[in-house]
Amino acid sequence: MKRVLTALLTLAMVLSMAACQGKPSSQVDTDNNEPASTKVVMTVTAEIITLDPQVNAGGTAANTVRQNIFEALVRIDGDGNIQPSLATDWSIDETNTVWTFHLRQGVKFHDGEEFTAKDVKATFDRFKTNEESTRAYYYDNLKEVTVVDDYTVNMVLSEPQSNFLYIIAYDGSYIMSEKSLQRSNEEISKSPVGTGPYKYKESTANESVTLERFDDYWGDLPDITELKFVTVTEVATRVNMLRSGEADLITGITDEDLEYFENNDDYSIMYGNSNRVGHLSMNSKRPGLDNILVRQAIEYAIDKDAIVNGILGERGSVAHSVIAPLTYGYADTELYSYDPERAKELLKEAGYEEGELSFTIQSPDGRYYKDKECCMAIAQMLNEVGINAKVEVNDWASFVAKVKAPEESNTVDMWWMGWESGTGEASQVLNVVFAKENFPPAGWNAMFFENDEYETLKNSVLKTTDEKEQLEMYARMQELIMEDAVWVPITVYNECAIYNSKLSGIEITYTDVVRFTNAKIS
Amino acid sequence: MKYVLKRLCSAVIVLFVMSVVIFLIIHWIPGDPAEIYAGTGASASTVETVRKTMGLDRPLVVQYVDWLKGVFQGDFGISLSTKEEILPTLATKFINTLQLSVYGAAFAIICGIGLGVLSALYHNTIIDVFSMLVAIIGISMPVYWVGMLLVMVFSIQLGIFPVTGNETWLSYVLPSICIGLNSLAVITRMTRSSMLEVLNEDYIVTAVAKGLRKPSIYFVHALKNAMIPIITTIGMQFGYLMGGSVLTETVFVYPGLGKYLVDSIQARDYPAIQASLLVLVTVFIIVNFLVDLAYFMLNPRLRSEG
Repeated sequence: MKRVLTALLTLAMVLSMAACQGKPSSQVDTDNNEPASTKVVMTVTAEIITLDPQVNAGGTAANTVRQNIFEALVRIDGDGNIQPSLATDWSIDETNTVWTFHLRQGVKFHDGEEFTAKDVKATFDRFKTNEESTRAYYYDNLKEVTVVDDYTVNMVLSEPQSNFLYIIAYDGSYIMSEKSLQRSNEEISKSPVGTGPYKYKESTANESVTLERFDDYWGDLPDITELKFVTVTEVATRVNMLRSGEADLITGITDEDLEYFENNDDYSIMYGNSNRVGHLSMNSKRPGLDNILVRQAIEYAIDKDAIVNGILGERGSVAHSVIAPLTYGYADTELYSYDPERAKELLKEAGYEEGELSFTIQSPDGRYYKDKECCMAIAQMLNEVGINAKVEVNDWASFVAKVKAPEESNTVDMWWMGWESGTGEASQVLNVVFAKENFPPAGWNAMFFENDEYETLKNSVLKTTDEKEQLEMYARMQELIMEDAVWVPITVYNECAIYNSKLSGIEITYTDVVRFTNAKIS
Repeated sequence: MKYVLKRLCSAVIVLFVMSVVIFLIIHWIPGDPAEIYAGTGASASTVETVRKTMGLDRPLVVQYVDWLKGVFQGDFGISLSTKEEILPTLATKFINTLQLSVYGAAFAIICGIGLGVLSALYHNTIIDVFSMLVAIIGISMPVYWVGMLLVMVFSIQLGIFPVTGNETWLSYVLPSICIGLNSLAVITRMTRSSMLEVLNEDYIVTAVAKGLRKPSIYFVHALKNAMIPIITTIGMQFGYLMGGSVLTETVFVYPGLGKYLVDSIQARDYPAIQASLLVLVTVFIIVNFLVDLAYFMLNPRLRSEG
């Protein structure tokens, strides 16, 4: 009897396994398991919130998809130089306010429309009319766009702006067809129309976006016929997907995961030069940190080499300024070296006993590569020179709320962040993050950095047309920040992509975005 | 009937109170959806404009009443981050999670009761030890780790099941096991102890003495009487399966409600958080209600009292 019962229960167990499996096996779709060789899947690390290039939301994930759908009039290459794209050449008049762009002929949009000057005008006019364009502030100085003829367009500025070409190369300046812009914001955000090598095919909210090759593309056609971007937030899952062949290219991996792929001919590893600088910021209004000697002591107390070599590995290099070498306007302005003895002397000079100072470092939770690990190392280094430091990890929304609190209610001592120059030139960080007008809650100057010489330079640097003079001004601005010791620039990040070796021609732009325009499959 | 009505009334009240609590909590936690949406570089005036278009500049009470009005009309509003209607997305995600939970629960119930009964019948034998070992493992291994192990072995090494997705029936196997393992352990232990207790009752001894057939003793008399605590456990476990699917869904990139909720919380997407939490609360209430009904059916004493 007992035996029968055992058999029955075993059967029940087996059946339960079968019950979990749902549909009968005859319905297996083998196509899904073996993607055709010209279909490529890339994982992105966050939700692709919108494809509208004039909206900031979505970060790197959204920028990656947009990069492959759109083109701007000009583009910045891997070395930081400006190259023709939808415009073949350009010039500026003697008042330094009117830019003339000559447009490429024979370019088609994904909706079949011919690309002409009216599309350029419609694209930039939308910044003035569409309330939801959160990137509009980049174009405040653009007074109007006028159509000269079908293939010539004038952009008129209110006052000279020497970084204008960089702004025109920036993601926000992607050209959309005039016809497609007559649709609602929701439609534009879901299925925008550009001129790039891939066009929108389909998407599933919060999950994936699929593009297909645009066969009427004006340039050389890539080999990829279908390009799918899947949101996978978990790093271990991304790695497993690449290993099982469910994904062909992944980003956002840790050094530890690299081991399997190194020395494995089936996979290629690529590093991109990013212009994102990971740094520790200090609030100069907090008790203790309001003393410049204490801030300088902290600069001396932090061993950047140890952090970069020990934690970041290939994913970072030591930073020597608040912006990255690839960024236009960069100057090596390192004033401090690792010197814990000097740090202790400075603290004594400032009148603080060992253990008298206590600070909390606020860290985001994985928004930047190994952010909290870096913070913990810093806390340890501060402890060694006699400053009590601890780390608090926050989800991004709480982090923003804390750091951007107005002066009277701001209780943040130090925090970790990684600012990126999205436009590829210095003003995006120098003129915005460090501006006096951007004290919280208006902006991110939660260091409460304030310097009259800096303000003067900031207000005139973009009006300066002499390149040498401008570079000197940028250098001086970086120097002033370093002298005031409100930032400890620690690392310049390198984005890393691992992909199936059958792919080639992949590029990583300075904004950590993967570009498939020249992708080949062997 | 009166009992059922009473339970329904209290369910509605709980739902209303929860809607207020949910609304207050998510507005109270730090973080501003407008700030997140506008992005790090955005100017203060841009953030302000975004806040206006999101309708977040209105007083809290007005926002709550508007939201509640919408919910009554079956309109959960528009997502602050994707700008798409919440209801269709939520419905798909909910069905996906429900599907996964049902598979996980089926796995947990059938295997759990099976193992539990076996180990009670073969008390203190190697079978009992084995079942308890499974239960200990199931209860103590973190879901995340189980998921990773399953993928390592069955997807990467053996290549039987896909790592992610929900396209074919094969892709449901690993997540179902992963999500159900913990419940399986709880159900196994509950079944075992409940069965052991019942097996010692006088009426079972009587039944054995009477010479009734063993299966009829175990399944008709013993298991049925042992079911009440097991059903409570199953009911609670199902609620947890629905709400606790976050980790499994993250590991397997399964497009379900749990993952949707976490993404929404990160973006501080108020209407999406409210909608998904409301759905989860409703599921909990319904499951509890069904459990109560099941008691009612199984326990005649409740029927006369009710």
